[in-house]
Amino acid sequence: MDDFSLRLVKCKQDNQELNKLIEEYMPFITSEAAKTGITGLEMEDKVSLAMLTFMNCVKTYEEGRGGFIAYAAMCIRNRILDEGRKSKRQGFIVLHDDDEKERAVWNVASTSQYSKEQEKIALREEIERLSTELAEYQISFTSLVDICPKQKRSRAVCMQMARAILADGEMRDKLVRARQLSVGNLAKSCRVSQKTVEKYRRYVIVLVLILSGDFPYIGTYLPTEKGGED
Amino acid sequence: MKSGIVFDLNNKKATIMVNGGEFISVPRDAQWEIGDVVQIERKHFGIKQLAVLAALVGIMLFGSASGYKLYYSQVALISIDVNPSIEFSLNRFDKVIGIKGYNEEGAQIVSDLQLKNKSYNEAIKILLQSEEMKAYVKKDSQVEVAVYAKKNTKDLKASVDAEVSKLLKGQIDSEVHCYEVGNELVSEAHASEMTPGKYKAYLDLKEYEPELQAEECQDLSVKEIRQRISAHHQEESGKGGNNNDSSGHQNGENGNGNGSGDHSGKGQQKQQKKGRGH
Repeated sequence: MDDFSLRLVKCKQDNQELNKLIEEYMPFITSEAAKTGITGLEMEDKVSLAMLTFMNCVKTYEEGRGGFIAYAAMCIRNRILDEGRKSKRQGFIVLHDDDEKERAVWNVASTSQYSKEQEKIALREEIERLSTELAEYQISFTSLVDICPKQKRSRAVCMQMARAILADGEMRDKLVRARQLSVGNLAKSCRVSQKTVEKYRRYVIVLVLILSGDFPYIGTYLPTEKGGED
Repeated sequence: MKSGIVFDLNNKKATIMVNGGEFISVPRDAQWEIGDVVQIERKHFGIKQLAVLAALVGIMLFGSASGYKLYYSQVALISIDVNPSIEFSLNRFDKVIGIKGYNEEGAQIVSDLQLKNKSYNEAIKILLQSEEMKAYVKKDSQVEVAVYAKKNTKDLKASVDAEVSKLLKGQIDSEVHCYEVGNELVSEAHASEMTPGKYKAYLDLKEYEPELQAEECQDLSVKEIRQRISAHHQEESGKGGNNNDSSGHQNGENGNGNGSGDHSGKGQQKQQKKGRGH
């Protein structure tokens, strides 16, 4: 089971983890809600519906049946369209926790192929945007093969460093404006040597860009902060 | 098998982001396009590994289950730290049954060499004579070797010390430091994701820097750790000038490795006593 799927399993059992996941994916949830051009629903209602649907998707997701993000995107769209139509008829919407619709999406055979196509299009678009952002730091995808840590533990440490940068306004600003990492501060904050920060500097920058940008699909392939055996 | 996203393509190679955040370069499949999610096989069995596998299957089918278990029981352990940190697990027949790199450099070397099922002397020879390892062994390198065995640690330590020293003669200026270590130190080292050799060096440094945490030493070479120890030692003794032996060892224990004169490292002596005379 891959790292993201393991995380989803944890979210099914732990509400705190689920809330953390929703917080991280709010940009995705909001953007999917905004994409549905349906009238009759306020944006606020769409976002609420989208959040609820996302939670239900976590509950109903089964590994091996396609990508979670594509599944969630489809469910959010369907749900908002449904509720939009209902609200036009009855004049109001009901926010209820009903995962039957999400389960129904799983059972449609054509869904798998559609979600794969959607995933590919979305990934291509994310890869292109990420490539543009990385170019500003003079990092190419091919160079990532050499700079990426080989050990899972090292990648976990890099994730910790990336999150530490995002949590610290000063470090984050310095990276965005001056394209520089605060090596000393970061080493202190994450209790690693400055040598480690220097060694993985460019990979950490990649992680920061993915975490802070709109890359929900690529984001599911990121390392976790817990290392261990590969 | 792991899934990965195709990030980049050229004529022959594809750059893939594998699940878990690793980026790898693999021969491209003609049908791949950027954005595809593909399945990547992490390791391909070579002919040698297939032969070993076939032999093991034979043992399992025609030998006994206990014979298999006997072969794969770890009874001893050797770690070698230069900059790469590498650890061998040995069975009762002195064969390498496991090998692990404890840092990036070590992991890279281990993935390139076939050392399993070789005698420990042969494995050490292949390792230290490999091009990959030679790139790290310089004149001013420090080499630390730690040896643990359930029985006869002294004999194993003497044999390993002799082999490593012989292989590195003329390549490094300082002596090879070879120690016996106990089971407790081995466990603590592994819990801190370090080889016993580097963990021992960390404990020695911690005597001078009590606030030091194991994680801070994970990416340091043993030379860097020993240099810091030496600097503290010089500060304390008030001596200036150069010290060729930057190991910072006390009591002239270099090379004898039994750690009996080593007063550094909390709980070290306790562990050393446990490690000897099994």
